[in-house]
Amino acid sequence: MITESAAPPQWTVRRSGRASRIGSTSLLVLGLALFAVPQVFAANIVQQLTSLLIFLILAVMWNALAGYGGLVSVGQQAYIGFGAYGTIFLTQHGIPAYLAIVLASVGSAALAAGLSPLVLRLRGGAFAVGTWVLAETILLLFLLDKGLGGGTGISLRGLNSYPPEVRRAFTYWLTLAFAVLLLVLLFALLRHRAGAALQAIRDDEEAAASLGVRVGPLKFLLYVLAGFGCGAAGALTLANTLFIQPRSIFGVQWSAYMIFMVLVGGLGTFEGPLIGALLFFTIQYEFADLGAWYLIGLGLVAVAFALFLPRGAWGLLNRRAHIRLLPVGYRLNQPGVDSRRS
Amino acid sequence: MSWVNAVVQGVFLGGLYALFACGLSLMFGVMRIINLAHGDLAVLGAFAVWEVATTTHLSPFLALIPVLPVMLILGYVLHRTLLARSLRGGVLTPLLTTFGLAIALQNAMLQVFSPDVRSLGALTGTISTGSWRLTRQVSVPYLGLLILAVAVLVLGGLQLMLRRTAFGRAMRATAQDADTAALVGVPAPSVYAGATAIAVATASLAGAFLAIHSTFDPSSGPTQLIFAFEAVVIGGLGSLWGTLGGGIVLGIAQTLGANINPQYSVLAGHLVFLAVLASRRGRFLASGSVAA
Amino acid sequence: MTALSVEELVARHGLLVAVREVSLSVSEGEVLALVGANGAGKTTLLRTIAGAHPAASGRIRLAGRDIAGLPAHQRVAQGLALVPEGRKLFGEMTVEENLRVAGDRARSGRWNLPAVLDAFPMLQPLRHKRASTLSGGEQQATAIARALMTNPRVLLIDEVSLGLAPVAVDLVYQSLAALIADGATLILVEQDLQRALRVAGRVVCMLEGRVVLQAPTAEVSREQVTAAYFGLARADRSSTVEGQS
Repeated sequence: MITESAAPPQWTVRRSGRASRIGSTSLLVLGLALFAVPQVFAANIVQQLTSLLIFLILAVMWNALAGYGGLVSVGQQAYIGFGAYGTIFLTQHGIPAYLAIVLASVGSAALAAGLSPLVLRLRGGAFAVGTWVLAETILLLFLLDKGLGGGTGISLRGLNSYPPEVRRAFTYWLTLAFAVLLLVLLFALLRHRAGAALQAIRDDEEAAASLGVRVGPLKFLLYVLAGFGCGAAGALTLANTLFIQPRSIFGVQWSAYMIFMVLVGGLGTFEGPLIGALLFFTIQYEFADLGAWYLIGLGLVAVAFALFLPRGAWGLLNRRAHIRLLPVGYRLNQPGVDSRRS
Repeated sequence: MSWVNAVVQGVFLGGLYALFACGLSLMFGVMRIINLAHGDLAVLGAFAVWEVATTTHLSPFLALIPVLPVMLILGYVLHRTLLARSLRGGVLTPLLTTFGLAIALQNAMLQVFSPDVRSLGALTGTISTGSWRLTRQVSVPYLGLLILAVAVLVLGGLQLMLRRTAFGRAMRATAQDADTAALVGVPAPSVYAGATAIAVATASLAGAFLAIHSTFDPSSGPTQLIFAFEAVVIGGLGSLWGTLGGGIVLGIAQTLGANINPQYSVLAGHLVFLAVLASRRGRFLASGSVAA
Repeated sequence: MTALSVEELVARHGLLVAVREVSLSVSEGEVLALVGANGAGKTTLLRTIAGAHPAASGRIRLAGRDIAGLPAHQRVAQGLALVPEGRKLFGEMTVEENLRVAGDRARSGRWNLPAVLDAFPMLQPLRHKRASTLSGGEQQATAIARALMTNPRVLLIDEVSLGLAPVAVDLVYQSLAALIADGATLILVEQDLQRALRVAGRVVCMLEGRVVLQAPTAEVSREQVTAAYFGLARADRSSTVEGQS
């Protein structure tokens, strides 16, 4: 006997669900509130929040590379340092400090664009160490330049003309502006067709390529964006602390922090790096005095997350609900069926 | 120093780098992962030799005898507990795992052994300071020659193992196609664990020689990882003898750079690495297999 | 004596169910032909039996012993060998090394390097040639020889003649005939229905992951098998499905 099957169910595709509508609205409100911070809070808090925002930028950038492009970079400190030193260089040639920060960030993007053909021919672990070598090379080149302070470090004079509260406020606002800009850029990238392509690359590069995804240009785009963001982070760190030393601004511990933030927050999700940065900032604040023990702990926690909680804290929170705070994915909805099961 | 002598010293330095690199190359060839903790494991080996040598007052060369088997077992256990699990997670997980491990290990050593810079050279007597004067310009250091000889022996031994022994065959088969190897009875987890064990043991050997040759401290690991990686890439991913060649090229680049200005030494090595990467050879770096 | 039995086996590729509650068994010395269109689930079935693919549910027994929980390399140690689709030789290694890899951990039995080279004389002059340089037929012979080196109780061969010239196929079947005459227990996946029916004692036909026909080759005609192959006879065949137990 022949069984008749029912008419196929009608599926619809939507970009946002209720959670993401709530989420994006709240983030918008939060963003506006954040701009008011310097008016309300003491200078110390403003500086701390600036640091937090810088960590946020770094986490978002590293996640863009690894979580969306499958590119595990252990060498983003190259751009962090380049952004900082670029700012110094520009101010030494008379450019106003805050403008110099912006220009140095663009310069970092250009550097990333220039170096990408070299570094993007590597994959996986080779890419990771290759980016590290590149960072070490750039560090050594800067160490040799006496005009930029050599091994002892250099300070940013260009901000001396501002009174401290004003300087902190301006630095904070610029950092916030960069953070928002980068988040918006990334959001736009993910909403666009390219977003699905990026996630396909992360999951299986060869399969994606065989479907016609143009892997090369997309990875290039991500690498340049990360260069821009990390350059900005470096320049803003300089503005926040006023003094940098080559071995610390070009140090691999930056990569360690980025990896930790993204792993713990949730690799490959939009919300993950935000949580990771917040968590890391809190941990840093509480435990950094413990010195070596703190770093041992960081390393072990990173290993634990890599092995047991690959989706990070966000993934843990999210496991049942499949909530997305921001409408970056696609939702399959069948009328009449519980739309929770995506 | 004369240029010729710089080249000669570079060759010997290359022997040390090749010794560091062969474990990295093996793990990459068999498992396709770069162990980011490789350098730190080598430093751990150096500290182990230090402990044994200073407490028993034995020569560091003799201290290697108990240390190497222990590091071999450590590598095996490391794989079975951490790395095996990370291999199941895809390409990113082993990198993130070994990076986290590197950080934890470095700082644990810092905590236990203090950041003091040490050297085992003093405990080995004339072998680490003496040399043959070949000509007025060129000298051949005893230690350099020893390290190069050990590197050649180790590489040769590994090559022999891969070509002629059952374990070597199993390793090559697993490196090419782990699934099919399992279908003919080869247990991939054991093969991988064995490769890791060998890699950690050779890394420890290299670490001990580094300690004898110059100095070391808990944060020496990353530098050695980078040099090992550069040697592997310059020599060609997946070729063991290529690793020796790569190490020697790197060594020569560094000594020639140092000859111009001591500050240029490491930079020269990096530039050669980047040049190789930019060249035609660099384009074939995506693939790699254990070419015995 | 049942050499291999499979009960209610289910295997998936993500959300797609490739093997749906398949049950079959092979007695010692029997040759079973497994036929079906592309995508019917034959390769997935063999790979799941061999351990190269995870089973979602069901039981697999080799000589009475449950092997469903064992990883692939341990099933080989128990006496199950698969010649995978596409041969999958270790290209960088020589023919002899390919054989030796399998032999290094083999169970005891009559198959060793000289015995295998005897059974496949075409491989003798090719001993030291790199496997990637062999022709299709030579590769297939090497792949079967390699599986034999493990001294299996049951040999599974996926796609015997796929991609081979007819002459090469003839040679392979000649060697197989000798094996069969010797009393080997085989499951063969074979696209060429005629050959399959000639060489096998029983035939199992799969369609969309299920067994739709299972009968001794002497009792079915080629037309019946073809009908099952394409799913034309599904409605009438409910009495012969899952006949064996």
